Amino acid sequence: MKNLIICLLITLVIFSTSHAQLTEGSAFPNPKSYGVTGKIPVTKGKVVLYDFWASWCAPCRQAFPAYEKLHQKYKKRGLIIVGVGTDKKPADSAKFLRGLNNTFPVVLDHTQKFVSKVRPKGMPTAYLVGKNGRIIHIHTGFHGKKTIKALEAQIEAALK
Amino acid sequence: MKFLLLLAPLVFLTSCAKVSPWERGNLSKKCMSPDRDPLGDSMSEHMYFSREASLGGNGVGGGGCGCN
Repeated sequence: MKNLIICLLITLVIFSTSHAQLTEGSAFPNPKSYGVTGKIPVTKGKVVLYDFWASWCAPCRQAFPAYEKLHQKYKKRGLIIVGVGTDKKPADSAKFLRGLNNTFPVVLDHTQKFVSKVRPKGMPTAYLVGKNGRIIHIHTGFHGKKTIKALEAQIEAALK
Repeated sequence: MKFLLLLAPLVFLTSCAKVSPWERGNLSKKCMSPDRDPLGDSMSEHMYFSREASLGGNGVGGGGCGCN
């Protein structure tokens, strides 16, 4: 019996070492605290859409023009879109951004400290953060109009 | 105590690690894909089943006669 308890405790230790993912309702971490590079806009009290992307991810490339349209549509109403590049090599991120002509701010997380804290399920993943700094909606992947429709509904509700 | 000492290395010897989504850059490269040459693969599969007079295991339809 004693051995069984010891085994269970060890199993618990092994499984407790895995970090928890952020869920809807939890506070979104401040990227400034995780050493990201690039101009981080003032997001306090604003609705923010964080898009985590990687240069090797094809849907991430497809998502950028769609997020640019969202940026143009909602920027006057106070929505801030922030792209978060997660490549380790800055050259990869630069190559990805070349020719995309996005006007929304992009920050780079070459150390991967920020993405390791947020722990998105896949690439790309969008986090819609409310005025109170808590996550309203998490969208993993990019499925064209379906994704945009889902995000627009959440953004409209958040901006009210 | 001995039991604990025996079990302790197991914690460090677990070699399975989950690759996080942001760490899959190398895995997404074309050279990592098992079917990076679909035309060449279908050709070699066709040659194989024609020569061996056997079919199956590769998801290719046919009766094993080597005529398709």
